[in-house]
Amino acid sequence: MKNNLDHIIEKFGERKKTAIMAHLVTGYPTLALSKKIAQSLVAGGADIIEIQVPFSDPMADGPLIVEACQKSLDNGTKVKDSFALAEFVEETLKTPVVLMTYANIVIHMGIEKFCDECRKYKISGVIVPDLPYDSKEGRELKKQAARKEIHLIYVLSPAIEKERLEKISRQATGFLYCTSRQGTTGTGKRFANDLHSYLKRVKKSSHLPLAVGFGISSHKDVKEIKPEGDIAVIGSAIIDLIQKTPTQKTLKTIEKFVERLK
Amino acid sequence: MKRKEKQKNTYGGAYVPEMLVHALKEIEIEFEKALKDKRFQKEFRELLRSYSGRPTPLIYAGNLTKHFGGGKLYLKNEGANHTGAHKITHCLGQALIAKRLGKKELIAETGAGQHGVATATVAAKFGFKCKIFMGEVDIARQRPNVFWMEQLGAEVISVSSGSKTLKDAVNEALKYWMAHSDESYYVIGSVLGPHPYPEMNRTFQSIIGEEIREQTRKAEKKLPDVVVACVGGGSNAIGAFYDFVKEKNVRLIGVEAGGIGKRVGENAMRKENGSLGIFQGYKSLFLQTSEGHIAPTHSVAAGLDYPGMGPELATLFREKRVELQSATDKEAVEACLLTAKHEGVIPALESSHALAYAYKILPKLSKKEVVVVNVSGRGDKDLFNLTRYLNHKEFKKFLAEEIQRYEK
Repeated sequence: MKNNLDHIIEKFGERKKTAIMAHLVTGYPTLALSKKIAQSLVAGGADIIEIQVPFSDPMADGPLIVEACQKSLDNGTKVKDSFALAEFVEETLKTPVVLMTYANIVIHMGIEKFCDECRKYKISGVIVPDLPYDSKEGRELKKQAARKEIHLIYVLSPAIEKERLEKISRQATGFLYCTSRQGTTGTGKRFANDLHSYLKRVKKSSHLPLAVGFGISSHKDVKEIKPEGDIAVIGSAIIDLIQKTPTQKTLKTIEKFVERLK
Repeated sequence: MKRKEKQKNTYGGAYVPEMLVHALKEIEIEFEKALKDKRFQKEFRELLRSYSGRPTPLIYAGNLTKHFGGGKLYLKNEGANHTGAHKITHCLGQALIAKRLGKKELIAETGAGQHGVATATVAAKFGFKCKIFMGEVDIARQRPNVFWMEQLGAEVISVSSGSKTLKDAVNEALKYWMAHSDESYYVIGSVLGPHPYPEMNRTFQSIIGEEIREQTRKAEKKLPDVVVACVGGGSNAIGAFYDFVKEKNVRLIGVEAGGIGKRVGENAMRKENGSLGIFQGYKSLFLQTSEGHIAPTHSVAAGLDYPGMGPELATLFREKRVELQSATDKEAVEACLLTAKHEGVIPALESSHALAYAYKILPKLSKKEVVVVNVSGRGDKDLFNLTRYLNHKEFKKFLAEEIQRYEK
């Protein structure tokens, strides 16, 4: 059975523009608003929504997302809220969701149960950046996700060794998520100097579309990754926008922002 | 059953984003090479002797032995090390590894500041640049150590995320390292974090147990019957225990922070409240919430105020080779003061937890039984902490007057 993400990916061959994966943190700034933010992102033209399940200690994230997760948890956001939001995006907005969280949330729930829930709420893919593909739990997650027809999206970075890149490419489905540099998420920092040669290296090892994320916040950035990148991931830039915009204008501003990225 | 057995043996590991895999592998390979390199061993041992002042003394605590009227008490005085605690040992070891890897900068996390001071010290000695990540709350309450780190040439970076304490300092150090692993080496301050850190730091620290064995043999012509150590991350505990793991007759007791109560957030008792988790690169027992978030902790001793436990120690606990007990803030402070009065040894509040538990069991033991408590650090650093805890009127007056002296 094909999920919403498969339908998007199938059309990649014929598409001219880089696709946009827009990120949000469930419950930030509030649970009610994150639902509306998802709508604005889709209205602005986001092709995929990355929903981050907030975790107390998000190790791969820069200050903006860390703060957003903290605020969301302070609001009392629960893991189930992310599942409900994901279902809304998949079912009502007909837009694929990639659910992102950290290993401890998954382990705590149980890998099989986590995948069952993802399936139940129609989630297309999951990202768990601190669960390496060759760890026991990483293998188990891959197995369970595959069984439930959920894409496990692997995150790669410029320092990746050839052997690991090849092994990941062999088992990956959906798309590959390449970080634009070593470090954490966030705006304002530069891409790796060897960005294009690294992306070319990844492209050569896999037939899957490449998503590129970390530090992408403008149309110019999206253009810069275009030669190899099929999907641009926008995360911290949206959180930044939410922080800087008066609440009544947030939704419209987000929609416009996404429109201008393409 | 078989599958369950297999799953049981899996604390540890390297649960990190892909971008740290290379840096960790580089350290693992270099550490293995160093272990086989006689020159490395010689240089490390020589630094421990001539720089840190090893072997540290094993003190017969005759007065306290008499006081409790049971087993015979010895204090392994790790507080006699340069910088005042056992931490310098794994800092020296890791600095040598960093040098072999050609790194330019040492980074570290710190809670109370002890590991930060030790790292800044070896950075100064070996000529590394140095960045210490420290929670905003800890900076506020541990200013003396911040001052010393800065005098040692380190840059202290304030961490304002999460609970603004030790675990958040580890998070920030890991993040900085992700972006700078080409030039920087992360000196992790305990037997935790991703592989190979737990194994590497345990290897460096196991000299404590080796010395305890040798010194007890000289003094008592036998092995100790009980070895007691406090457990935060577990570096001094596993250091003291490791040489005795195979000696089934030696009781090994780790003492956790009982804090101010039994509820989550009031202590750091992984035995009572911990459950399996993956955090900061390793799998172990962690204090966490019902949703799998890392829970807040409390201890009067900053070095024990941490939600996780070194994976090798957690394994020894599960295999019932190491017992875990706890001592409250109050018991630890009392044990600290008692040890000072009777033996002229002022233990760190961390180590005082181990002493507090030893004092509970000593009266029940026979005169022939030998108890060695690992006094992981000395207590000078707790001056402000302890006087505040005791609400010490004279000291409070001194502080007020000190401010006036400043303003003159």
